[in-house]
Amino acid sequence: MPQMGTKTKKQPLVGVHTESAWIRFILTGTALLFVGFFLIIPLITVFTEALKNGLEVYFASVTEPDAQSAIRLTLLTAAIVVPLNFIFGIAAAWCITKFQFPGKTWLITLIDLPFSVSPVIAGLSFVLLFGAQGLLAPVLDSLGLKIIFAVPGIILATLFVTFPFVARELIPVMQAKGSEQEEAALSLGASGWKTFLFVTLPNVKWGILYGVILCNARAMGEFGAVSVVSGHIRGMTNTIPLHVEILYNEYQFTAAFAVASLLAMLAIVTLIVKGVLEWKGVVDGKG
Amino acid sequence: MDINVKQISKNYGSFQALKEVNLTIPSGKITALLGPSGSGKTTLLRMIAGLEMPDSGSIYFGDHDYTTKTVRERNVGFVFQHYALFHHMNVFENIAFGLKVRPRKDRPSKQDVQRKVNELLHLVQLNGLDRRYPAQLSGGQRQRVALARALAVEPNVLLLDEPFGALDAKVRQELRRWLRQLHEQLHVTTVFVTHDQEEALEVADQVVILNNGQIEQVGTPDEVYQHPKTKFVYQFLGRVNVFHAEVNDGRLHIGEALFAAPDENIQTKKMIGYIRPHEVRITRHNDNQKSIQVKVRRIQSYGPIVRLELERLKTNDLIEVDLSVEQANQLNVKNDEILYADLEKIKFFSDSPSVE
Repeated sequence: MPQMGTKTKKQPLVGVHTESAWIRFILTGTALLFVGFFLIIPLITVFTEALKNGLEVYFASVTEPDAQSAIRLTLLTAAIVVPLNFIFGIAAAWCITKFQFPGKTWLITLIDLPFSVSPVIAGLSFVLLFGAQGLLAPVLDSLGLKIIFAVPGIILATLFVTFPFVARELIPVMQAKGSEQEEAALSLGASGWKTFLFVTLPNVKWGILYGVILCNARAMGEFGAVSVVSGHIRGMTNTIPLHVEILYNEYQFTAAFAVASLLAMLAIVTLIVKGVLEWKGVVDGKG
Repeated sequence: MDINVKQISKNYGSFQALKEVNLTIPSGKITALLGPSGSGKTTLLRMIAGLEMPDSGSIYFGDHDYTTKTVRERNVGFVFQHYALFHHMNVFENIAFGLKVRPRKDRPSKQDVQRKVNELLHLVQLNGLDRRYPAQLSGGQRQRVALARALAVEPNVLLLDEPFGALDAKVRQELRRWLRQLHEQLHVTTVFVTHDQEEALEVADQVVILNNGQIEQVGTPDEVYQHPKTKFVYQFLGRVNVFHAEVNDGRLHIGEALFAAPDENIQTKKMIGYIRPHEVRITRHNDNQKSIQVKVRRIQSYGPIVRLELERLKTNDLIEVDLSVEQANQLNVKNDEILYADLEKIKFFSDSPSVE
């Protein structure tokens, strides 16, 4: 799209800062040092450790049956959790931004709960609820369902932890958009569903994608809550992060780092996609 | 299709946006809802559209009660103040939206949609811009796309919320004239909201003046300007000089000037008089009993009028008077000169707490 309307958006910052050169140098230097020390060096370490014994060992560690099973479980979890949070996130953002109702501020606070609660506590609360001695144990037993130390528990815990991502990303975008376009669509005779599909959704698509990507990254990387409910059964209830921990505790460093490098690559891809989306969002003037 | 609004009330929390409003919007005419911000004009427009629901009262489109119908069922064309164009669709897709979202059985064919959109593009003078996106259009062009989009569904009534509010003075002027012309071609019942009295008087067939959620006056532009029914209307429609009059012996006194009381059995002691700057006649001699002595403080000439700033001799109050250039040349007014201001055309209202 040509550069119309972007004139006012990016004002160069020339002339607004009064700090002297050395203050600017120290501030920039500190920031770069932190990023390098805490982000770049560890990331490089993961890959160098993983490849220390050559590509062959690396591929062997990643393709070994337990690792494969961990990868499959992680993918399965993400495949279930992300779509559910996608639906929940849109529904929550929709009702919060488009309607007025009592208890709205409460709902916003509650959506943030998984951010403020330690994942371990979340995992524990699931154990207390669904575990062998848990509140719902009699019901689950009679139905023959097993949740804790099984795949459903892992999915539930991940769902809880990643719950806010899409909604949190969407609420500000939808608030900024207002409801005028929806009102226009309705006045033109569009049904609620068509309005949502043709007007609301395209308007917030970058926001949704961004939320989904963050949600996916967290769903695949979650450790704490999943660790409590999983039971660490090799080849059955181990996700990638749990598998990395087991390998590490068994002093299989190269294998641990090899599997960890998968998550690191996911992180890098997430960051790149996020950057592209933000750039697209700015260029198109969309959320 | 004429629209009847009956006893409509609406509250937002403790704020009364509309108080038992009754209004008839004549078919095929342009009606302006005019008022200051917070007067309830936009709320009334949105209620006609079905974008807001009244707390009480009813709305009739023709003979049909539309009070509980949704915006979707009312078939209105609504043009939003900030256009509300679909940013991810080009001009063509924006205009075609209302046709394409119809249920399958009522949906026109691709060719019909194409033909209809081309007609509308021609009507709003945007031929050749159908592939542009809203971000690539000027404000005036966006406004016209919004109008074409609203007209595409062949609405019962066209509703415009501050249609020219976000445009600069020159474009506003052009679009006003254009809207008038467009209306003469289409004759669709039109209601628009504005806070600009000039816009309302220039474009509308009927002007509705709202204040504090109530209608102050309804009439043609000429009626409301020449014969304001309330103090508010007098003050809101253009500049006005205000005088306080004493009631004595059944006559009204403004300083040395005398006026007949509007009502012979007048009870109040005081009245308030309004006169517009161009209604004051300036003379060198007191040729009737309705003049007051003034001193010229400032002479300001621009365009076709000369504005005099006069100081009332006894009270030092300032009065504004507009003269045509010819009148001013004839009188040959000088600064600090003493003249007579003839207030014959003054209109009196009871001096109850004034409404701003």
